[in-house]
Amino acid sequence: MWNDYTKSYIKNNRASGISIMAASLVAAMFLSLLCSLAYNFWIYEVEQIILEEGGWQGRIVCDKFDAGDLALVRQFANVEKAVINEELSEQGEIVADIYFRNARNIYRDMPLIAEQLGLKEDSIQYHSLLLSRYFIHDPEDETPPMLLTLYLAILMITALSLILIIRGSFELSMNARIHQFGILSSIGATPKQVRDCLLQEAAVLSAAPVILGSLSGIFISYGLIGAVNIFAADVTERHEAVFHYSPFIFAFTVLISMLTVLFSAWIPARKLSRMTPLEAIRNTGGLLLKKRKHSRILSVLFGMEGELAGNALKAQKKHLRISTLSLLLSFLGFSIMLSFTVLADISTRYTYFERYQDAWDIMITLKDTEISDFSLTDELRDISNVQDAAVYQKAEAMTFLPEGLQSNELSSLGGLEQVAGTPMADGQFQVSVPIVILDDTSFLNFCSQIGIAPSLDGAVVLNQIWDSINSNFRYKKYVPFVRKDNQATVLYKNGNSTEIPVLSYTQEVPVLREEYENYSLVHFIPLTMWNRTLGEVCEAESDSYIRILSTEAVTASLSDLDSLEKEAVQLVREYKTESENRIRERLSNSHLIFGMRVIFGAFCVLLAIIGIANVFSNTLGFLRQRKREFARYMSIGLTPQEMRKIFCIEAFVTAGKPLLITFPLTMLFVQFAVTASYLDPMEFWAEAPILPVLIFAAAIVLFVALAYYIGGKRLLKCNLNETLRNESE
Amino acid sequence: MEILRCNNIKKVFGKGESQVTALNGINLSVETGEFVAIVGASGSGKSTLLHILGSVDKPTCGTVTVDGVDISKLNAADSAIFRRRKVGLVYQFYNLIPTLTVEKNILMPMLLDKRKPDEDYFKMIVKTLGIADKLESLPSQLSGGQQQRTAIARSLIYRPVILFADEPTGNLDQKNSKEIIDLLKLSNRNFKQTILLITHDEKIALEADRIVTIEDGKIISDDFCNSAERLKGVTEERFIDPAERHKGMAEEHRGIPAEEWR
Amino acid sequence: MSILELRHIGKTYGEKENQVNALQDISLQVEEGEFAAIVGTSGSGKSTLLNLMGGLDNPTKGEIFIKNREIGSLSRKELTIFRRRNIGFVFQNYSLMPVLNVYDNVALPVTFDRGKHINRKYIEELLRELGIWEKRRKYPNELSGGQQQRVAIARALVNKPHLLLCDEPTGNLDSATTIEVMGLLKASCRKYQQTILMVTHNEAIAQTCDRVIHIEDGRIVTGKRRFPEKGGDEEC
Repeated sequence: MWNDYTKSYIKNNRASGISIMAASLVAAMFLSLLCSLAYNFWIYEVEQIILEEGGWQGRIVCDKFDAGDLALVRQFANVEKAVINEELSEQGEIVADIYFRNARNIYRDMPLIAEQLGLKEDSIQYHSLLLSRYFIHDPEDETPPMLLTLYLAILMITALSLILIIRGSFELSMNARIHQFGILSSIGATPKQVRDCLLQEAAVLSAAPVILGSLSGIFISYGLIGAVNIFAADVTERHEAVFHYSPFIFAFTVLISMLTVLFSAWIPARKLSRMTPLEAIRNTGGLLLKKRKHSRILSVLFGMEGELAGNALKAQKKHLRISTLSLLLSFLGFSIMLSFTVLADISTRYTYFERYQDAWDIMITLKDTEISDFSLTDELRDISNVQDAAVYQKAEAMTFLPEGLQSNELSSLGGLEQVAGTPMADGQFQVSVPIVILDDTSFLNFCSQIGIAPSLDGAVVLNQIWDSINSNFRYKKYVPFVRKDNQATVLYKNGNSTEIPVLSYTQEVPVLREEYENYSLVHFIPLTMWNRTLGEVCEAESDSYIRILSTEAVTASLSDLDSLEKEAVQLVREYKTESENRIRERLSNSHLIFGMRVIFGAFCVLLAIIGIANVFSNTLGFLRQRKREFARYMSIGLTPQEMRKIFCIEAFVTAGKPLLITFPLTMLFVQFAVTASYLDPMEFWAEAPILPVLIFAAAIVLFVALAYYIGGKRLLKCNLNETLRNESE
Repeated sequence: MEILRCNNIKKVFGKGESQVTALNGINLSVETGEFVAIVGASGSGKSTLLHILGSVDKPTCGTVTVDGVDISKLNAADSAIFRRRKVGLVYQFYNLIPTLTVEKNILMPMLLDKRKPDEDYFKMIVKTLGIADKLESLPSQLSGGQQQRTAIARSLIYRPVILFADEPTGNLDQKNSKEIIDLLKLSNRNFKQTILLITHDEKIALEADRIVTIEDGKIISDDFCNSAERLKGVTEERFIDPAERHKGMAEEHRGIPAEEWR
Repeated sequence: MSILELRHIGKTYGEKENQVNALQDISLQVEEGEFAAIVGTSGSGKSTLLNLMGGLDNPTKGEIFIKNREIGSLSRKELTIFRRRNIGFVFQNYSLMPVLNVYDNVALPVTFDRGKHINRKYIEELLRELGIWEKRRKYPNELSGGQQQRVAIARALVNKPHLLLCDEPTGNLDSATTIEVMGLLKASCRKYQQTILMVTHNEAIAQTCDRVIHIEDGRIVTGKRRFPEKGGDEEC
């Protein structure tokens, strides 16, 4: 019989069956997509960490570590592998990487290993970043990194909201049928049989959609990762993401979805088993308000119909919650995302593309190359179309600055303490000194640029400090940093010090695509000077850079720069290089922003679809319950137009509420973001994504209106006067 | 003055095999100020008739004229306006709007027309009906009798030319039933309210001035009686003790040969 | 032998102010094979009484014995099984499953009992007798009221219940169909030795029964036994 009844019900109630199937499909798809993306994101993170820092979990750093020690370590049951890290090991400092079978016990085993080796606790290192990706935290750390936990929580919340969608659609269909189950029960179906029937029906209806949804979720995430790879192909420091999938995720999504479905069916069944058959038969599932409500705004706006619509909406509040929430989230997400990308776009343009548009056309990074080892500088300058080429390398040292050496301007602002918050020790400030080592020709050019006699016998000091009191970071004002008294700076690094003569103090910078650290005393040094003095005590960064300016300057086209870039790279092919050019970079940046918008926008659209689907299932699912309500209106003398007006108002509120909430919130966000980034609000409004936001809003309104239109039309087509006579139908 | 006139109303439900003729040629005329009871067993077609008279439903053929307007020809919007301004409808199951307070429920028909209700009239109605202290309650917080009073107040608020009541006491106990009928009589006497009451309960029908009996979609009797006679005590054939009368009907049924019962 | 016995039944609905005593102190015995009518006006509590007898609702006070079992002591499951094996219901609004055809609607209660095979011959006999065998593949909404009520009666009889409870079985039918349906009920009562309790507000219909129980405002007014021989003329 169960088969009979279930089959017939499914066959004869396509609409409710389809809404359940659609809900299961959409929810399972999202769940699967979300889990799959999260999984891939996690894998990618782990890969990136391993790529950058290695896959070791524990490390022993000590001055003596021989093969015997290695064998000792390997004897530990939990140790999978232990190797000497040749790359990092130096004379007197051996680094041994240890891989564990079960990394969960690492915080217990590592100290034991150290103890066995007779080493102190401080010679052990943990790869805590990698470990934290596996949720392994130092038990003694009271504030372990919770970022991943946060992501997981977000995932859970999203999953939960998806689950609510399935539940909502089930609740509707079940409530409409309590009457039928009452009859079944009155002619002798036990509560258990009714429950079995419901569960069976739920399983039959949603098995295929859940599996299909999970599969399509996988495909979508596969596609998304592909899309990300395409959009982000030009981003440096990024390895290509490879799609990963684990059968566990599939099992997990299917299991969770199915459990939700069964749980959703189980709840009305339980509700039913608490009712006497008579109560169930009498159940009309009509709208009921528990408390007196006044829909003031709506009744002021639309009169009586407004009040009726408002009260009806309040009575359906529970069922409309999901649609309100998902519509709100999707619209809010969409408009904030667009505003954010526009802001980010404006911001990068100002801080990067426009600021440096004269500073470079092509940049070539010489990987692991000392500037002194590079010998092709002149050849680069000889390439036709090259106006200028500069080669430089960066280094970092520090110096101590007595209070008296601060410039008058800085002192009058309150000194370094006020401006940079640098504390003073022994009457001196410790100031970091970024060093830019320029090739000699470029340095001489720089000397001419600032109007001093070209010389290679010293450094030029960038004598400026950001007046953080009177200006913001976007429109920085500078004051001189130090008095021009000192003829030399003493630089310290690694416990050594050296003295560099100062050729000049300047407030100009050489034409380089560089941004210098705030509150620091930048030194530009020619290569010969570096080799002679500082190079002895101070190591530079591993990479060197070539900055090329094209003769066409800002008028250069993409193909100009592309061919120039190719030529330059060809010239320096014996070095390991990475190159970029100004126009292509700008293009790939907008490409990236566009990709981000597409992916995020698609997500918002999907959210909107959930919301709209819910509105549909609500307006159509509630028809039976609302028949009586509208029959009453009709008997009092509401014209069909007035009843339509009620539907219009309901649609207006359902769609309008998310919009009304979103607009001020987006405004607030924009206001906040514009202020925080010190942008001129007018600049944002000139480029504000008003049109797409309006289109999105219009689409939401349109679909919600359509849902109510169809629902209302169907309802008004029903023969309402039958309903008036009977209490139970 | 004639307020209601039906000419040869027919109503057919369904199609083909399951076709049912609910009303089969009803002719009826009601004068202003009359209190008419329409009596018939369940399924006799009396509710269908009421729906047609109240313009909730349309006849398959025939005309219905209320206050000089042929309502069988009105379109949906006009018949809705007609319904709320010209007629009052009271049902067995009250049909109050569950989401509105009693006061709003009563004033609904006026508010829909954006009219200001007559304060004194409203106060008088709610006082007469004994629901003056329930105005702020929701229907679900009232007893059945109170809900029915609210429904009656709502039907009277527009001073309808005719009040239709479909089994208004069907869901109430005897005490409440009597009170509701008394209220209807009161409004008939005091406001000259024309009332058309549908009931299957002969005892209730006896309270009216005129009893129209319907069986299987046809009027089988239409009897006037004046209140004087009723006060004297019922002696006429029509007003015999109901129990006696039922017995009579039962006899009729028993007369049917056994084959037909199968 | 008494198949049904009610002892001091009371039923109250609602709370506080809106409290309604639907039934007060009802005591009643029904013998096997009786065809009894419960008569009262709407709101008198007659339907409530019938629902209590069938275990569809629980009394506030009192005990109900069917075949000497106190149904209040049964669990939900036991009660349901007891009901489907011993009691058939016919409602005024037919209460058929809209998604099942006539035959499946009638066979439905049998399928609740696992392992009990559907006696197709008996169902066919029932349907033929009720004149709806030709309509067995139709859905309820394709049938007239009278036909739907016949389906409901067939469904109530399919488990051969000892007790048949009917709530206004002719309430939505015209007089000719009413006579037919009443005839069918009487015939079934005789043929299958059933006890039938029928709620109606129609005195004329009630008078065709063996016994008439009057209810007014939740109390039995008179409940005297009338014996099946015809022409009995006692007060009701």
